[in-house]
Amino acid sequence: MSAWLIVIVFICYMSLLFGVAFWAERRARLGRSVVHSPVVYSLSLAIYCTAWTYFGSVGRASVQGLGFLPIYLGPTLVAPLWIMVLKKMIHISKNQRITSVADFISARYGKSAGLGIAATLIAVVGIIPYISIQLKAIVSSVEVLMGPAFLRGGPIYLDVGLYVAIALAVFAILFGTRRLDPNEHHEGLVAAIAFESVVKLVAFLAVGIFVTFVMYDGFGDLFSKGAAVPQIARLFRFESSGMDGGQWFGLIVLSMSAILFLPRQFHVAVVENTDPGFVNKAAWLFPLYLLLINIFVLPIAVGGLLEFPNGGIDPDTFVLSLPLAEGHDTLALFAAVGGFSAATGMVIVSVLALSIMISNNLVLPLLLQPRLLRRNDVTDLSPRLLGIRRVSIVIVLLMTYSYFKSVGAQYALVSIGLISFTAAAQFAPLVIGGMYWKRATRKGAMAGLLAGFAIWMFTLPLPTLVETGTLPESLMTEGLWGLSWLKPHSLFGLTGMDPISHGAFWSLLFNTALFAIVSVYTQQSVLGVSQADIFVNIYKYREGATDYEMLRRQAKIADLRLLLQRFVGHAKAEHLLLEYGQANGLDLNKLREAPPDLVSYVEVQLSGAIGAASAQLIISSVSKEDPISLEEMFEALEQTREALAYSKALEEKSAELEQMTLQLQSANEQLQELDRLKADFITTVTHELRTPITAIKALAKILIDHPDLGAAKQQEFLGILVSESERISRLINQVLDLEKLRSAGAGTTTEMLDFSEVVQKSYLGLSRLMEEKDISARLRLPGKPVPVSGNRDRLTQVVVNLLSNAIKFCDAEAGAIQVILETVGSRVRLSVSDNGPGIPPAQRALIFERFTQLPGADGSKPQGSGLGLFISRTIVEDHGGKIGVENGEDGGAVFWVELEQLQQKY
Amino acid sequence: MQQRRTKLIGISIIGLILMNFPIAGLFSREYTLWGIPGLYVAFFLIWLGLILLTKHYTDPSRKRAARSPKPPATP
Repeated sequence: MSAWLIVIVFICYMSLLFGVAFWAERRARLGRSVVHSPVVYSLSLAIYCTAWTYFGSVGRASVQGLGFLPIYLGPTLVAPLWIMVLKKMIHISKNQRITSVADFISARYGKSAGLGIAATLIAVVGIIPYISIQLKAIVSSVEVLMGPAFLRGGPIYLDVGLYVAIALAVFAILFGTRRLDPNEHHEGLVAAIAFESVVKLVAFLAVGIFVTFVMYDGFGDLFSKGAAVPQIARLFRFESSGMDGGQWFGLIVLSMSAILFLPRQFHVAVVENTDPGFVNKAAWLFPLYLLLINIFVLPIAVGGLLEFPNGGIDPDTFVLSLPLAEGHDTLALFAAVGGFSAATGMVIVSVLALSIMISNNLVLPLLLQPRLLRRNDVTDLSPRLLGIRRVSIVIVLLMTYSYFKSVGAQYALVSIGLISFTAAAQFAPLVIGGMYWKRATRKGAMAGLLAGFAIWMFTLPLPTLVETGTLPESLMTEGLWGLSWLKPHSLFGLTGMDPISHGAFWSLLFNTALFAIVSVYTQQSVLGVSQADIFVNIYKYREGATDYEMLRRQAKIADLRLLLQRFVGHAKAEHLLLEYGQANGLDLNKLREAPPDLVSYVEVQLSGAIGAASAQLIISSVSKEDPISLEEMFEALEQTREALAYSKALEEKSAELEQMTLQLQSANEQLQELDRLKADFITTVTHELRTPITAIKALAKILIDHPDLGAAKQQEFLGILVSESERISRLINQVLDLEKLRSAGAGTTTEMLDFSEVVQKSYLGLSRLMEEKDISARLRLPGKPVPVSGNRDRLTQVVVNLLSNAIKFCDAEAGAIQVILETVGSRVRLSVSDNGPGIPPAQRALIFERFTQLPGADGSKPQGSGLGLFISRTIVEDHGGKIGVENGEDGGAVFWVELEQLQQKY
Repeated sequence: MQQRRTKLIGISIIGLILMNFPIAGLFSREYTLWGIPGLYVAFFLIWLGLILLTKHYTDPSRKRAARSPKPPATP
């Protein structure tokens, strides 16, 4: 294939990538972000699939069968936990404006500059070989495409790797360091790598479908032809992977940590994340991507082995050489573009992530000197910060290129990738421990990280230097300084493990153990305690950050403004301060001293630009910190927790109180109503008393004034006097009865009695009166006793009451009264009917209320006190019975009482 | 939420067990499904199953759907 064609295609692809990035940035500026979507987020995570996946998986599968899989199973198995772990990491990072995994570790452990430097060094040393093998992959794919015409060892200006490195540096600088964004969001970059993820997936699937369905007749055909060759059939068994269960498990665990802690993965998953909610979708979408891109790995490997049975073709290049061998140059070129996209996406993000670490965690803490912070120096430092980043990008790519030239070309893609995975895994104990274990201290983190790093260096990268001849062979065979327990591949005499498992086991063991043990035996600084609390209890802080301000720092607003202007630029600084002022209702121009939370706000904003440790350093140069002891810090944390619990308890209490108030209110209303009733009652009673008294007084006066009044007249007057006095006494008796009823209530003694006897006696007592009034009365009783439980006097009162009412209201000329006692089911019913005017329906409910009086039969003024029926009702209801009135057949009133009959005989 | 977390942790653990020794060794036999080596099919099917399970418990749209048919409170 012509070199020019290849060059033109790659240049076109690069231009397309630039185009996508520019388009995304423009959309973002217009407020219509294409990147703000869970699908794009998931695709950006797919930079996990590098040239290692694209070319290396096939190479590994053709030797080890399923041995390529654990690296993709790990992320799948850990993805369900992202909702907890990754989301928490994102929330912490948003809160603290964290810019890289090194920054995360540094910020967690008291914003330690030392830890940031150590983590950055590990990342750089660990990842550069990994980036360099991407260059190698690109170069060797060009080599395969060009065939024998490829120049190897030619002059440097013809070196493909160099031009690729330059192009990638330009891209990373253009889209990663265009401006200093405290959120580190690079929309163009994310759009480009998401696009690359689509390209590499489609290209790989295209090659897979070509091999499986064009070269062969589907999976069945391909695999059955493969099974016929013993060397290939071997790959379908687990044993071909050459791994035991421990190694298999070890690779899964390594990849579980790599998916979040490789600097580039941390960058896309945490730093570039625009919405923590995207994690939900990515938790299944990203594993699905991995599944798709792996389906055709084994088929391509089998196809390659069948096509080239005599070897001579590097299995790592099957993806390209199979279409080429079949004469499909276009497909081969497309496949190469896919591989190119897999490599470039990884390189660009890795380089950017490393450059952020280098500038924020390595260069700035060393560079920040009081000179930079002098007050009268008002230069904007943000261009200088971007300059540092750009230089870091170039340096990283230069290191990558030189590693590729000197060492990298000799190694398979997978082995170097795994060495980098193990380096990234050194961050896992510190990050995970830091998020869930408050007691983890800076010294513990430092001890664990350094121990892990040292063992990693010794067991994994060092032997590669021996193989290239940089170090003597004796190191491997005799151990360091001739000590047999210091052999890089069998440390402490541990043999029988492959180098990766061996190195990962020892480094992570020492890392975790020292991290835990040293943490337990050391104390945190004040800042450390406060940061630990933020990281472990991030959800508490998200709700009301200012309530938990621990460090009381004072600074002048002018100083803070100056710092912001220097590090994020003039316009952005003013914007940030304005935002703070509006959110807190403060006019910052009128204040001199900054409130403590403004100091923290500025620090967090600066962290986004220059990293947590550097920001802390700078802020402390302009602020006075109220000395606070560790005990006070703990106390403050304890207090906030107590305060939270207390306020919760208060809330509950106040709800209770509210309910109580409501109850009291209704009780009060009832009391007021009762009071009103009482007053009414008294008014009515006194009125009722006054009427007869007035009459008595008037008649008595007439009798005194006219002693000569006729005897008949005198007799009449005296008769009225007597009846009126009786009325008074009756009224008084009834009022007293009522009071007795009210105060005694149900407390009156009850006994078993025969209700028919009560009715009979009452009837007999009044029969004389009825005779006098010429009333024809009839009494009908059941032939047997009617047992009820009740108070004899009270029930007698009820019967007498009803009877006297009947006497009072029955027809004046030919009165007729009927008293009937009968049993109705389990109840006994007494009805007293008269032949008076009856009760109008509207009045029926009213007459049982107190002081309701109806006019007499002849329309004369009401007789009685108006209390009789009320008392009767009260008594009957106290006995659990019912009382009512209806109209009789002849128009008179029928009063009835129903009581519960006792079942037992007596 | 707490229950969802437990389920997701469960998916992770089930996957770890199925895709590791000794269970994974059980799939490594001389057999084919649809002409494809059984080991290969088994791993990809388990893989797909885990993805679908994770989707079921993380997808917000499903979460809403599962929440809506709430039994009416008894009077």
